[in-house]
Amino acid sequence: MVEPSSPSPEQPLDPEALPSVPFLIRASLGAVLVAALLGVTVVLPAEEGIDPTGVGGWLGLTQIGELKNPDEVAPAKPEAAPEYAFRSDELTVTLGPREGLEVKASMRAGDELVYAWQTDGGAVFFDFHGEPKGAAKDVFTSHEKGQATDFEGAFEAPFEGVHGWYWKNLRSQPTTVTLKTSGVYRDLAPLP
Amino acid sequence: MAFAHGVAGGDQLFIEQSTGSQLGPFAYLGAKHMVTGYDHLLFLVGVIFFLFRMRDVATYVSLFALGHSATLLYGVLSGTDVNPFLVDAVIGLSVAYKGFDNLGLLKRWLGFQPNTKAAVLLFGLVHGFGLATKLQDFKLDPEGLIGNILAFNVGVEIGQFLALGMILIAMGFWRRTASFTRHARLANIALVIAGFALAAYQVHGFSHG
Repeated sequence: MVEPSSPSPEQPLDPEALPSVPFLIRASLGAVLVAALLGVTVVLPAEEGIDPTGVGGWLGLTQIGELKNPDEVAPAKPEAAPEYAFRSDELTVTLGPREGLEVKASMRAGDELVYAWQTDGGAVFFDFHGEPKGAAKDVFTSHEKGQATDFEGAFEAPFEGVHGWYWKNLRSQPTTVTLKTSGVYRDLAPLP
Repeated sequence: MAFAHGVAGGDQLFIEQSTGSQLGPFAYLGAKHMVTGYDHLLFLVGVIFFLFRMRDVATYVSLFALGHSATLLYGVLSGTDVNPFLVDAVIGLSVAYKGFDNLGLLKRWLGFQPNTKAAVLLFGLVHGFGLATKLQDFKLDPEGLIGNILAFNVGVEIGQFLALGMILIAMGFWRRTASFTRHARLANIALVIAGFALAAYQVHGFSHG
């Protein structure tokens, strides 16, 4: 049973019922205009972090673009120091509003540490990760990530390299993070 | 998720770092997902292929929107765990189904014309689960989640509206050509092939993912 309005390939085409060519041309020009407008006000901020009109910032899109196009690339790895030994450290860092920061230590494959960190309030985004020694820039493995106000764990380095925590403050006020570590590692420090 | 058509890398980073209510960004991501989502777009092309009246286009596209909104919201909020590859495979099959339908083959094989409105609503439900799985791949902040999902859904509809506008203009020019009826058959055969190819690709992803 075919409904009256249902489409049918056998239905003959009535040129009168179709949109006229001048109408289609006007519609095309309109579409190009809309595309250009959206390109500048929406896509450019969200993809490139460039916001010439201010609409992207108002809609909250510029932050996506900025995230995709960071001004500074990942900081350099710490210089090698002589020996590994069992040690304990406590370290406090302050993150400005929406600021991200990394604290890392060098470890060899099989070295272990236990760690605990907590913030003075709000949750932070964290990514506990490692970069293999001699790996290309931006090559890393996440061991643990998410959003939390505190986290603790025991960790055995699966490969030699630098392992550590990236925290990003999600609030509009400063947040401090206090990290305690014990284990075999060296050069525990915030990256500049 | 190398095979599933998902949310791009930088956008994923944003979703995982975002917190609280982010209506603009989630709407943008919904629209972007739709405009760049070839599987959803191919299905839309199939649905409106032989719809010449704007009223019919509006009816069918609304049914599709109703279907995918329902399962997008339900899927994410209830945390229903559907395999993204299998959903995307069925979405591929929905494209092939619509191609067969447009070729008049369903009617010939079954001896009757399956209800086209019911089909678009049903496949809309499947497409919605597909949209839901894309969001469920991420750790979503529970704060402001409902607003964000609604914004994503609104974005999906905006993206669908924009894409539909382009499709209708292109089809408008095409339908005025004398060869449209001849090429329509080829185009729908191409839809069937593309649909099966998408489905096969996702099944491959499922068995190796």
